[in-house]
Amino acid sequence: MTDRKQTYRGKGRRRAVCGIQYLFLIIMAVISVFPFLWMIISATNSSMDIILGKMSFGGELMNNIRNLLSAGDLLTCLKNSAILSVFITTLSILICSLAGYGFIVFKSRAKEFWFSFILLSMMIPTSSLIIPLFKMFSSMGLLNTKVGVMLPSLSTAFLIFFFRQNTKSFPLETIQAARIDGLGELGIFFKIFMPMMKSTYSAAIIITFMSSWNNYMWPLISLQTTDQRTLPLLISSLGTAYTPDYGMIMVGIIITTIPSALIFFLMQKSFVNSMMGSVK
Amino acid sequence: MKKRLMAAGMVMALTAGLLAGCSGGSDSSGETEDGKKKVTVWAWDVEYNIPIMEEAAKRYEANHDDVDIEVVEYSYDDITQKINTYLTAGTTDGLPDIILSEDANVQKYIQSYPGEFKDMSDIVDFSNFAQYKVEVLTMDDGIYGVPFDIGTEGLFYRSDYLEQAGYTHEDLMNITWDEFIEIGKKVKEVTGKNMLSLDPDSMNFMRDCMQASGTWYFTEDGEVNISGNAVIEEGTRIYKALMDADIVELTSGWSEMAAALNNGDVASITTGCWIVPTITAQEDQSGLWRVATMPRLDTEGGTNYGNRGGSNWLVLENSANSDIAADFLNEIYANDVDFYETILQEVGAAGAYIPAQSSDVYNEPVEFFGGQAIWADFAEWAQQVPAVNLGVYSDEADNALITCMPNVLDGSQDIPTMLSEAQKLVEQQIQ
Amino acid sequence: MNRKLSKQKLKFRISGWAFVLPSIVLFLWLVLWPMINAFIMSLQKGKGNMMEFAGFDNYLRLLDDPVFISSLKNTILYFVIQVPVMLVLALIVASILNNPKLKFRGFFRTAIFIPCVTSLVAYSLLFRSMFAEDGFINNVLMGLNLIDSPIPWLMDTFWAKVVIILAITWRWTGYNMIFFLSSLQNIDSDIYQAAEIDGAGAWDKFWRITVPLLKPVILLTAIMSTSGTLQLFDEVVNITSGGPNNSTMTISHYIYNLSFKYSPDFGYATAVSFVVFVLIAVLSLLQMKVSGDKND
Repeated sequence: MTDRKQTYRGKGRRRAVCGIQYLFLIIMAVISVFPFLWMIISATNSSMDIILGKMSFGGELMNNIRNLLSAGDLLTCLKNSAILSVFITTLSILICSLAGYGFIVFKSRAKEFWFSFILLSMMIPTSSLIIPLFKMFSSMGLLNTKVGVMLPSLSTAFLIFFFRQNTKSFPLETIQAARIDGLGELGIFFKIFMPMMKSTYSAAIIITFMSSWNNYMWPLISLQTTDQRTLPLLISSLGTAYTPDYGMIMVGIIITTIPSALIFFLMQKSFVNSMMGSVK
Repeated sequence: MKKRLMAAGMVMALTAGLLAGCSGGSDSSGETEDGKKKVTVWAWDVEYNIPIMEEAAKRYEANHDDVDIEVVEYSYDDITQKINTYLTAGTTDGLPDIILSEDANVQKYIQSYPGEFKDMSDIVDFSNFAQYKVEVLTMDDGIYGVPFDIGTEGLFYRSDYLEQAGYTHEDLMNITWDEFIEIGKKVKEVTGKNMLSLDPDSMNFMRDCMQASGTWYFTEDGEVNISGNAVIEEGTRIYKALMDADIVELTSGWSEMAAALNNGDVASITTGCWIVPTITAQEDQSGLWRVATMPRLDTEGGTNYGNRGGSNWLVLENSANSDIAADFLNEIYANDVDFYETILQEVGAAGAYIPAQSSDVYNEPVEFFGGQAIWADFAEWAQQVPAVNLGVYSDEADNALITCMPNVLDGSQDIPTMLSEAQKLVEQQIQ
Repeated sequence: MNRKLSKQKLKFRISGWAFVLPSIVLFLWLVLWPMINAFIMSLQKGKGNMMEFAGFDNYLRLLDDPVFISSLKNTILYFVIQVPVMLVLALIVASILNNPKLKFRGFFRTAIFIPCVTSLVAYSLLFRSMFAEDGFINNVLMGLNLIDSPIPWLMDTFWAKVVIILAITWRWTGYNMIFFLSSLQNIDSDIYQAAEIDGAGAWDKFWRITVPLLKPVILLTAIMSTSGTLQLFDEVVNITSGGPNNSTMTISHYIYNLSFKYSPDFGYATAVSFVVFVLIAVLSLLQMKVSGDKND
């Protein structure tokens, strides 16, 4: 008993904690990555092998890729998805971070009310808004346009909420100081707030890009022609066959997954103590 | 500098996006750039109904050089979502001229959106189609679509397993479910394999029983017909007997079912003839499979002929070229025997068009099924499938039975009590 | 002097509103207006496009709709069990991964994030085969002698719920981790150093510093997860399709069935949505109250 106590003290104890941490992380990582690896393995196998649960690499990759390329216009869909995601991510982060910042820095009773109102709106299941939204866009001639797909994603309660919560930890003295220095309100936002909140923006970019890249329901309903299709719509169109070709589908979903994973990998690098770094 | 570049890039990209948006408006004129009449079709299976529709389009375009038919693939669920949203919102702009719809969905569409689908009764000679397929498309005096393929049901079985247990093809033809269970017990005893693959989360078994016995969850006037329905009572008894006999391999979803077949885990399955490509995909089982008629219920009206799945082409009345679309379906799907021979040979699709079924192609022996002329069998059985009116609430009824069935399986309720409870549940659901 | 001040105040006010105006306009146009229309739709009854006004019939019908009630129960169960487990797990992972001395941070972060971008199609196929009667999980458990006979994961009403809870946790822990990770950067590292000097251990630091300082973001993730769980759909549809015996069906799944699988009844489906809306709103307000969120 006493022996054990001793080893847990000081350096030994720290090392043990460290080891447990690594073990924990490794287990988490394996569980997390395993299905992703399986997806990659599956992309190299035939549909039959996938159903039968084959867990090793096969030689069907080229075949699956060829099938996918002949199944739909992959490049056009990729292009459409990329355009939409870049726009939605840029514009919605701009609009929502302005709002989230505004709700805290310029707080007033009226703004409190509007914020609660917007937050509440997030709670309605989006599926119930599809038909009214569709009717509205139909009468405005916005169906089958990129603008029509983007508009409903530009101001989301979630992003506003996210920026509002994070602005709370932003030191207001910094803003006061900048005002005294004669910087305009927008100037403060762009030149001081944005660079200091780098990690917050990184997280927002990851989340927004991911959700717009995978956006499915509204593009499905509002887009009409094949030349406007996005990647998730293409993949979904391959999904229901009496005898689904899972090998081909796996290649498709890997292509769909890579951009989001890549964005995450690039953005997570900025998860270092950014705010304090730039203050000092 | 970097920031300014970014800002400039954003503005440029925005403008580009807006322009792209403006040019992407939907094309509702129904004409292609070179002045041809354009007919759009939505279908869902790249291995099956899409190549078939493309073959049909090729044939029609050869005779009508002013028509261009485009087949667009959407998944089954995507088509359902788009059609329902558009028609509920009252917009047809952006919808195709023709959609594919499974038997079970047709009545939902034509009854929920009256006036949106084209009545084909004056255009197509429906006496050339199996009666039960026409019934699927009928509402009042109109027939709203053209039947495409059949889902004639059969008992697909592994002849090697059955032979080991001492059974021949004749022993499996025209049997009752009780006889089937006895055979199943013997097969399990000898081979150790479960006799039947079944998905407990669908009521396909019950639907099969009802279709083959000429009854349904609902009466002709739409009254719920579950409690006291002799066929459903008997079907429930068999369902419980199957489970109690411990000869059923429970699979959930398509991939598990396919795996059970391809792995050789089960000795048989009762399902529609569209399962053939899935079974034949496992090439090393060639010669081992056979098809018999499905078992029947030992009740009044019970037959060995059922149907599962199968689909139809529906024309949207208010589309730009609905008349051409209707003419197209009539010319190919209701007149072209050669077309049906081609799709059977190329894709393995059995059409619902009767005149095609007497052709030689149907009578050719199929190697994989030990030389059995399975397509001729399916075609013959198809003509004996009793016609039933599926109504619009079958999924609701399925769900009620799925909810109540466990009470019978664990013995806590007797069958009539359970069915009257299910009846109440459905009545509550469809008010 | 006085006038100048008030002019400045006015300017301050105007720029304050300018910050939030774009969001408010978009919100009124693209959320509130459709919402009002949706509410009107929820007061109508009928098949497809033949709808007629029915007052609050749809809402009354909800009260004794057994499928609605059981899907509500399932959803609440997911919410009560899954959300706290996931958030605590995400918080622990994030604070470990925030340690600048940790090696391979980028790899671990990406690995743990990967599930939420892994396609549902792939992972539901895999999950189903792993949790099959003779699948990987049962083999392992039996190999370790933890169980005597295979667990019918997907065929049993209790175990199917367990699988769904595992699946959601697997998929969304990394997602919530991002929020925590990004906000951890906004905590001054001096605070940790000061605590270390006072002799605080990792556990103390976690509960005394990390958790209180992350409170705004914890509240955010709690509300997000509440809304996410009550709108849970994809996982259930792909892994169990709501079965067995509707035991894993969620409200969103039911709304989907009402609109697209069953005979289309958008009026009733929308009424269900509004009930969910009220539920989430009430739960969120409670969470805000409990966490003492004030705008200061």
